[in-house]
Amino acid sequence: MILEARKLSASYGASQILFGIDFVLDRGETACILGRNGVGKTTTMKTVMGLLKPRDGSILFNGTDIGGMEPYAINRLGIAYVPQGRHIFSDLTTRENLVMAARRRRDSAIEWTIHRVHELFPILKARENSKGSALSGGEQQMLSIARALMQNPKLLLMDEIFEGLAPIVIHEIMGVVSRLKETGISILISEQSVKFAREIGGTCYILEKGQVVYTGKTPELPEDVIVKYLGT
Amino acid sequence: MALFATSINIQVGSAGMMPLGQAQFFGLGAYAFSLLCLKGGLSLPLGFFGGLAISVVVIAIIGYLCLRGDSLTFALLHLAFNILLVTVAEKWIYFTGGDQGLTGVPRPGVFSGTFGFYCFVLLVVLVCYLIIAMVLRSPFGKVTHGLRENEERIRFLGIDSKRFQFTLFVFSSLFTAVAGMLFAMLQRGVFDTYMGLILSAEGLMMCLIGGMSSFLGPSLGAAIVVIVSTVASTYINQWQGLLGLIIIVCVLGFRGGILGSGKDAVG
Repeated sequence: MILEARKLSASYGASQILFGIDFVLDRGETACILGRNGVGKTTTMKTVMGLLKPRDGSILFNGTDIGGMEPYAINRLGIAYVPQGRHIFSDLTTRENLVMAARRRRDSAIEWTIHRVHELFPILKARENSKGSALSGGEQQMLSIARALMQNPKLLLMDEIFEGLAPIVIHEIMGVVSRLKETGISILISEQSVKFAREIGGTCYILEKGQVVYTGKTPELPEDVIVKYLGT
Repeated sequence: MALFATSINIQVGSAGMMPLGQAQFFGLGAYAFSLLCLKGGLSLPLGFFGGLAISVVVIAIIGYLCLRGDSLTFALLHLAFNILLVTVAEKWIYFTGGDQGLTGVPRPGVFSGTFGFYCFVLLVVLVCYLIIAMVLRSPFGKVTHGLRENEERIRFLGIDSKRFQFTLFVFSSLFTAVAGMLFAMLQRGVFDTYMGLILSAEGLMMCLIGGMSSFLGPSLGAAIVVIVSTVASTYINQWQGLLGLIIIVCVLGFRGGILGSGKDAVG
């Protein structure tokens, strides 16, 4: 297994958000943290990435306890983050955003270069010299994903990557996620929409008030569970 | 002065850091160079490189301590160290001459005349500008722009932002020290005002007036400040008021400074 959370708790100051959650992600697999707004999905991602220190419990990446490590150290171990809200560098061009993130990794089965990233997202090639601030929301999301890939990660964390995007862009990014799954990269994705989660597949962990309330195969989610915890 | 302002802008304009007391390194370079030549008996080239070596040690220590906290802590500690170093320069009379300073600072032999020295300074400054421009255009320079925008984003991209800021701090402050050495040669002396808080503030004003988002903006700002303070002061008693007025006009009328207008403003 590539990632394992054991009784993971996290808080923002005095406000506790995660209450001892457990989840595992096997190498090359996809897992989805599913839940409504405010249940702790982004908090989970930030805790894995080291942007938030765990209050209790542990988070293991390839057997190494990464809880409490600095984000840049976690990133260098092989975890890349596609944050909610994209967070690309608006003052740098598309190409500069990618070049800045580039990292070679000799133990990867597939090496992500600018050329390969441009094949995946042709629009980023067309908008190579445009500043980040001039890109549309969908283009920025693609750039955010491409930037993470340029780090040649072993594990990709994707936090609500479809939020606020037009259906046609969502369809394109969904296709990218499918292609990424085929490369053997491990993916942990957080999502509100059951529909999108089902298309992505893999294992799902439904969060409710900072706790895991259901675990199962995403395409096989029972309707009563969906209605009870996700309201749709 | 142009090099002084440009070196400050490496931190301010590129990385969004706020060094409130950068004149401490201007004076540090000037004193280290002058002391090595005048009291240490070293030749000008040895004094220059020896001065750089001493400066880099002091800059590294101060930089390490200033970068321990957040950006506000950095700015205030930077200012505090400026006050400390000025006090040392004023009180350690045996070494620094106190407010009398040290005189007799040498110039390069063949460039000792007015025009010759001007050419020498121009050459050194151009070489420094070339190095700075190359670094700012490199991937290292792109990370500094990212740092200005959002430090957290830099960190989850695998970059130790504190170590990066430290490297940038030392890099920019070394050029400040070089500017101080050149100024000491120009004036043929070094005085405690070279480390003064007023000079630190003037350095930031030069960046503000000329434009922090432009490479040559600080140089233009330096030219304006120097012209006003030296030329205008001959004709106008209230030249400091004139400088203040220029700053107000530039801040209100030229968003991002004179050369920064029309470009993306910093931050």
